[in-house]
Parts: sequence; C-alpha cells; structure tokens
Amino acid sequence: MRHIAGHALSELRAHPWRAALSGLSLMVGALAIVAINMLSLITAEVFIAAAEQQDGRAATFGARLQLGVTQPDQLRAALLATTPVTVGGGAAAIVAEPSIRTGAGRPEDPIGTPLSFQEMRLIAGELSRVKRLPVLQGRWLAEDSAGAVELLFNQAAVRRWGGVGTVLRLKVTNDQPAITAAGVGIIADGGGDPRIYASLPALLRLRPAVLADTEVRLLIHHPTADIGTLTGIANRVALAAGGRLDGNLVRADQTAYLLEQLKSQRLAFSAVAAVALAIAALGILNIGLASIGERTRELVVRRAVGATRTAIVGQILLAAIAVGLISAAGAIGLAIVGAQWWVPTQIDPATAIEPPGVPWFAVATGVLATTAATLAGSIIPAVVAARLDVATALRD
Amino acid sequence: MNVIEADGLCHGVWLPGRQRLDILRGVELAVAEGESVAITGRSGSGKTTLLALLGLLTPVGEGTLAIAGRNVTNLSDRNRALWRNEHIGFVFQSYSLVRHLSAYRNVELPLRYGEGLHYRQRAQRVESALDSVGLRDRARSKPRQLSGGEQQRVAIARALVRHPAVILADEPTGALDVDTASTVLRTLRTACRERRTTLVVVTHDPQVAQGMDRVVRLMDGRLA
Repeated sequence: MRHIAGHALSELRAHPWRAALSGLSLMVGALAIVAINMLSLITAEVFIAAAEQQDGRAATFGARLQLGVTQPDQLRAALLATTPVTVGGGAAAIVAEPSIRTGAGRPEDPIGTPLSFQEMRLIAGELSRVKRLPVLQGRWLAEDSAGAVELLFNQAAVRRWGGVGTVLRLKVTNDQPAITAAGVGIIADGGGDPRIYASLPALLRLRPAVLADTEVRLLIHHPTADIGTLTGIANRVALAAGGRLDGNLVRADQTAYLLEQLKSQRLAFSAVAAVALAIAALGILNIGLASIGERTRELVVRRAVGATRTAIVGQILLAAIAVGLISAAGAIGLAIVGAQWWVPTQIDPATAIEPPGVPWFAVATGVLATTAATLAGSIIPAVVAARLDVATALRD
Repeated sequence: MNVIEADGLCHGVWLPGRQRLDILRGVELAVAEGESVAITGRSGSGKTTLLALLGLLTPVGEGTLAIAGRNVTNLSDRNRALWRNEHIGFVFQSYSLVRHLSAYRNVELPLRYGEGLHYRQRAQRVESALDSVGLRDRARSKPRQLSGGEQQRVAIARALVRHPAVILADEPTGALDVDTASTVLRTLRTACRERRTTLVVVTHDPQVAQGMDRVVRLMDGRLA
C-alpha cells in the first residue's frame, strides 16, 4: 500500500499540469455545487424574508382582539401574559391599525395647516421578533418610555418625513388634538408606502381611547409550539387586556406555503449542480483515458517489471483521490471565504435578507460528490490500464 | 540446474474467419543457470512471442513451462506478476525507461513492487546495480538527459536489481550504434556472468548471437 501511495505521488509529480487541471476541474465542480446551493438558499431567502417581513416568521399565528377602552395597566398585563411564549424562542406582539384617517405633520407648520394622511401602526410587545423587521438606523421602540411617544419609520416614511430625531405631530383619534412624537429608529418592513410605527403603551397613556376604533391583532410567533397551547395563551392575553379573542388563532405567516412552492426551484438548482459535477467527472474521465493512451508504454513496462493489476489500479485511483482531496480542500476553503465574507457584502443591508452562512451540508455534498466524481472518472481509466496487454512491452 | 524448462510450448492467434495461425508449435527449451542463449530467426518467426511466454507476459496456453524451479504453466495473472518481479529481468530494445523518473528511480522500480524491502536495502541494491553498469554518477539524471547507450545500461541495471534468476533481452542493441552496442552487450554479459544469471537474448545480429554460450534458431514455430 505504501509503495502504491509512493507511485501515486510520483505520478502527480510527473504530470503536475494534468493533475492541476484535473484538480481545478473538480474544484470548479465542487464549488458549483456549493455556489448553486447558496444561490438556491439566497433566492429562497429573498422570498422568505419578504414574507416574514410582511406576515411574521415561521410559525406565526394571529387573531383579532376585541377590546374596549383599554388602560395602560391592562396592556401591560396582557403583554405579561405572553411570557410563556418566550420559552423556546417565541415572541408576541399586539398590533393596532387605527380605522380613522390618521395624519401627521411637522410641528413647525403654520397653525391651522391640516395634517396629511399617514398610514400608521400602533405596536406593543416584541414585533421585531415576530416579524423580520431589521433596524437599519437608530433603535427599536423602548419597552416603556416615560410619557414620550416614540416612532419608527420605514424607508419610504424616511423619505417623506426624515429619519431618527424627526419630531411629528400625529393625529390618532378623531376628537382629540394631535400629539407630538419623535422618531427613534428606521426599520426595513418591505413596504413601498410610507408607514410609521408608534409605541402603543406610551400612546395609551396619552389617549386611552386610542384602541376604541381600532382593529387590534395579537400575533404570536413560536417555532415549535402547537396551536392549542398558543390559543390558551392568546385567550389569557385577551382576558388580561379586558377583552376577548374575536375568532380563532390562525396561521398568519406564508413560509410553509412558500417553502412548498420553492421545492421545485430547489430541485431545478440541484439538477444544475448535478450536471456541473457530471461535466467535471466526464472531464476527469476524458483526461484519464487520454492519459492512459499516452502512458500505455510506461504502464506495460511497470507491469512487466512486476506490478500487479491491483497495483496499477491502486496507483491510478490513489493519484486521482489525492487530486480529489486537494481539490475538495481548496473548494471548502473557497466556499468558507465566499460564504463568510463575500456573500454578505453582496446583500443590501437595507433588506431583511440574512446571509445564509456556510452551507455545510452543500459543502459536505460537494466534497463527497467530488470524491465520487474523481473515482467515477478514474475507475474506467484504471481498469483500462490494468487490462493493457503486458506482452506489448516487447513491441514498440 | 535448469532455470528455464519449456516443454511443448504452443501459441497461436485467431484470425478473422475463425482461422488459427500457429506461431509456436511445440517449443522445447532448457537453459541452465548462468548460461547465455541467443534466439535467432526470421522476422515473424515467433521470437518475441516465445520471449513473452518465457517472461510470463503471456499465459501459457499449451505445453508446460518452469521458471526458476517452479512450474508456472497455470499461474494466475497476479502470481505471474509476482514471479516475474522476483525471478525475471527484462531488457527491451527501446530501453523503456519511465521518462519522468530519474535513473535511480527507474532502477528502483522492480523493488517497489512485490515483496517490500527497507529503503536502505533498496538504496544499496540500486547503487550496486548502477555501479555494475558504470552509471552511479548519473543516478539523478532523467532518461532524456542520457544517451541511448546510457539509457540501455540503466535498463540493464533495472533488470539486474532484483537479482533475478533470468534476464530476457529483446534486441538489446537494436537501437544502438556498433560501438555502443558492443559496450552495452559487454556490460550485460559481464553482469550476468558475475551473478550467474541466466541470459536469453532475442536478436537478429549475428555478432550478438556469437557472444552467447549457445545459439538456437526458431523456424516454423520450432527451435532448431
């Protein structure tokens, strides 16, 4: 075995260009698998991220809450009632969408200037964990700001009003004067229209009737909990808030549906990866057979001086495996560099898309497939070499 | 003691139309230890075929063959390779050195197959073999850096390095000029004589044949 390994190494040294080209071909094959897999992951991530921005992470359930005039203490109690959800990585939030025509204006506008329409969401709880809403600048809303109403702007709202530090007058109820609020952060919510998110607990202290004409939804995200458990929690939240659930808790996120839809896309990507690798394997086979043709004389001389067929097969396969392993190591290194450093720089930070990280499964698949392709591409030349008629050693 | 004993060796090939062409028709040959024999004959008379059979490069179809005291008639391909490695050395007309290996590595080649030797023993054997052909100082040279005569001497060293019972040489001087051929032949004869190695040479060259202990002629598939 040691001698066969020695012959294999001497073979690599003897034909460095051939070995390098074979290795490069395999490395490209393995990298193609990793790259195609990453492309597939990123493509899926684009859809998933958009869906999770809009509707919630997998899995998010929602139900309408029917509330009357809610006191700040009741809201606090309701949020406290969501605590069991946090066990195991869950989160909950209350989102209110005022049914009145909400408006906003600048404090410096002349008195009497009407406020212009502005879409608004009033939020409490951990909405940033329920939905994928990355903070691009500034910070998320404080859990309990002492009196001041804090705002978050989406990117379109930033273009309309300004960013962090912008002070606005907001109309959130019909019969009461506008309140003043300040922007503390900019988030990516995937929306194209300007939207402002206001802190519900702070708003409730200033305008206790704010939820009276408002559609309120409870959103609960938990990766594993069953709907029965979550319904129980939702009922306790509604009771603590002084209201009740209006209807059943239903799945709100679209990720399961999207993943199902993306299956065929993944299959197509896998097929492309398989084709890339097959091309690499055929390249190796071609190089291998050409090499055997070129080295017939050397191989029969080796057989004549005592090499068995096994030794010849072993020598050719070991050399191929060595090339395969070196290529695989190179592919792993490049895949890590690409996934850790290059891919993140290509993703717009103003999106909710999270870089997929090193796709270890794809890397492992690439390495295994590369080795398999090396063997598949070398085994035929090895067998051909072992079957050469050794008597031709005596004929030129 | 005979190192080669061939009895009724036959060999033929099938031609298109299910016709058999008999090349060897019952060859009888016995060669003693240390003896040198030249096999001559016209082109196409079967000299190379006989050498391939004696060298275990081709399986014996009909007849029996014993090499170095063992009946090798029915050996498997693997066992023929191992027996060849241990007991038979080859010198080819076209040198047949592995071009990317140095002279040292070429000579070492048979030692790296079959029964393993410690690298120190291998080094000793290789240096001694290169010494015997006067090329120890060219050990690091690649075949392309050697002249034809030097390449053939490296091939002789490779044939000698395992201390085989028999060396089979196929037109060993066929590609060399007269002076170089004479040197190479002398080297081969001397090395075989010193080691009491049996030498079988296939040749067209009467001068080469005359330098052997015995000359046999292959005619119509039989030795005369």
